[in-house]
Amino acid sequence: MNEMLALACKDLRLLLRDKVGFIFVFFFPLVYAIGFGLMFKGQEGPQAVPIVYVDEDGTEASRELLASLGATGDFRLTRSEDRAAAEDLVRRGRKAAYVVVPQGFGEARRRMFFTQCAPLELGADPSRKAQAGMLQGLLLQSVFGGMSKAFKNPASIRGAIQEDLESIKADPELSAPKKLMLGTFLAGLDAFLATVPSVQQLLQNPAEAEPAAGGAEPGVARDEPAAGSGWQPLSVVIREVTGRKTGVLPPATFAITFPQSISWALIGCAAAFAISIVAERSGGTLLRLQTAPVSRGHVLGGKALACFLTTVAASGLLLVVARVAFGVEPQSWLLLALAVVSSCACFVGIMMLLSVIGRTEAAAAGIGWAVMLVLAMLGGGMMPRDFMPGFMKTISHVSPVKWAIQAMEGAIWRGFGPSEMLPACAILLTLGLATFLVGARMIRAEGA
Amino acid sequence: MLDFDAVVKRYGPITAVDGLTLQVRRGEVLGLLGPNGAGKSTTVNIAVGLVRPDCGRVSVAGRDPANPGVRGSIGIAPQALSLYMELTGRENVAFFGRIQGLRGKHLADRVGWALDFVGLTDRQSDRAGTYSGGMKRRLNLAVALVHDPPLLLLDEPTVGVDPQSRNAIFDNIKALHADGRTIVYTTHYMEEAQRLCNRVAIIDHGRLLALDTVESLIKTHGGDTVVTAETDGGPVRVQTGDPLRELRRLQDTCGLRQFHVQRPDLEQVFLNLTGRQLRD
Ligand SMILES: Nc1ncnc2c1ncn2[C@@H]1O[C@H](COP(=O)(O)OP(=O)(O)O)[C@@H](O)[C@H]1O
Ligand SMILES: [Mg+2]
Repeated sequence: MNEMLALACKDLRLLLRDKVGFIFVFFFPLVYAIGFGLMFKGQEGPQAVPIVYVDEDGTEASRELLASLGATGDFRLTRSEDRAAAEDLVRRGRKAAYVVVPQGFGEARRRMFFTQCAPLELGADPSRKAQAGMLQGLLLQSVFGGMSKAFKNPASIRGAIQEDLESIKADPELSAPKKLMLGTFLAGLDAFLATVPSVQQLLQNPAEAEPAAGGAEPGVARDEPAAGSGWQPLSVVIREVTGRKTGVLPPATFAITFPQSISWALIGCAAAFAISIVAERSGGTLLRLQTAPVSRGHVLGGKALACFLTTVAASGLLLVVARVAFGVEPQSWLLLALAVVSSCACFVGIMMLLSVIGRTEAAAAGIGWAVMLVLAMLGGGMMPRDFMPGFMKTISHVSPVKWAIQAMEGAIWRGFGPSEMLPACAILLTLGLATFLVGARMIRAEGA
Repeated sequence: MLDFDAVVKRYGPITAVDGLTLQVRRGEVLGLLGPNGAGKSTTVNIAVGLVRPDCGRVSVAGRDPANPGVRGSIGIAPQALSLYMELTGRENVAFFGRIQGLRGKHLADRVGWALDFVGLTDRQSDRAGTYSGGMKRRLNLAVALVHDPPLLLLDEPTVGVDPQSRNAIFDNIKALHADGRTIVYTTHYMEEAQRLCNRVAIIDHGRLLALDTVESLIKTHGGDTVVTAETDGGPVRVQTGDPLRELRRLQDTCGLRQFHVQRPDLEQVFLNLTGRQLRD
């Protein structure tokens, strides 16, 4: 073990003095993560957030509301038949949020103030506060926009007010003072609408119309169920949908580019150490090591250990930068550690195999990088897999880069549980072990 | 100390070592002299367990060098410089010392000693890649010495070396010999073998042609001394076992003006043994 540590220390020291190796292991991945993160970030705005809606109301008003959401260009709407399905889509990360337009919404909006209608429901992951907040604001704006539109037709409003007054009187659950208050307010409003003809002109401008409804501004109820029947302003309830998201929208582009950059660091490490084994073989130091009282297993073990430590250090460094400078907060540090360790182990094995492919340093470097670039491209190290066409997604299964990125993303933002991490990690570890054994065996064979 | 017993190593059609039987005695400097491709390096690599012989046995103090524990008593300076050019001289020596199991103060002492011994203390903090050819050779030797091995295998330790470093290396080897170490020294320079070695093994095509002290080799295989002279009666060239008597005779009979006496050397021994020059 002491010998292996000495071997590993020597290799780390050599790597630190090898400018090219250092660049590929530490510098390039960092530049990649930050550079591409910033580039994608610029495109994040215009990209529509996919949301799913359930129109339980099915009236003109609800369709109008949803159309107005779509018209903002910020959302891509898809319809779902029931709430459970919609919620599931969000839980699995297929959609960023769901919106349920409850039955009675159209009626409620027509009548503005008195409604039996349940609140609009908005479901989103708590980690997507910004998107949920934006959606909520837009919903309220749309609801309110609809109201102000209604104001343009005072006659219909007056009809609605009359209906409201009737309902209030009939409502058994409404307390007497409330009945009185609402009755007085609505009667006053009715009188106002009737006696001031110029109100129509006033209401043609929604901006000025808004204050007119100030007394009954739609409120936001956070996670409170609809407060029974009876009068209430139209509100939006936000439900937190937490769960495993295997989906489309990570919280930030950096959560995509940093796992990618780690895969680059792993590739850089594997290439650098494969080249160093070839260099030791051609430079005679590998033979000299074998004349020392250490076994060949020790020598290879030392290489593997140094490579492993370097990959872990590079991954750790990138993750720390991601966390500290770009706010990428993994959902599970423990699972992330598992993903990183599995990925590192996999690339240590690949390093071993690469080291026997090249005869000279130049050949090892050339072949190594060619193989690695293909694996990176296929595996989503350049273009994120989610953006790949279907056939490429299928091909990408052969690339260890794909599994490494999937495992890391699973722990960072896809919300994988241990059971979902298992396949990717198992594949990485198996591949690492297999390539290590084949590589080590070939190195041993040629030394005999 | 180091015994070869009918060792054979083939590389495809080439027989690099062909039935070599040889005992290296404790405390001697044994030269392996032969032209390039004679099988010297292969022999050394077999001795240290790097190359497994096809037939025969090799043993170090009675034990198989394929066993890692046995290799700790051997120091090898390979013909190909085996150093980390990106590490400093000191780091190279210290690393191999650690691999040999040295630790702590003992390691630091040994590293300091080895660097001092080969005269690299001044340059110990510079990267090996920046050293001259001679300095790299000396560092290669220091690495072989760091763990204080009783048996040293030095494979062409003066190849590509300036005369100054060469003399320094010769002095090192004499000192190591005086210290009681057993040294196997391979070379294709007969002067080196003649100057440094107690006994010389002459090797060609993997076969041991002769093994003895330089004196005895010359006596047995060197033939007569050649005397060339310029006399009143013209140039004369005579082979003789007693050059002094021959010169006297020439002086008396035909008036000696100039003369040159060439005593047989290992070159001559090799020529007589193989019909070829040592250096081609
Ligand atoms: N690894 C090898 N593969 C094939 N041939 C080899 C190998 N090592 C040595 N040889 C051959 O064996 C012969 C002896 O080589 P070597 O021991 O290096 O000679 P020397 O050191 O005396 O110059 C040469 O003909 C060389 O080409
Ligand atoms: Mg040689």
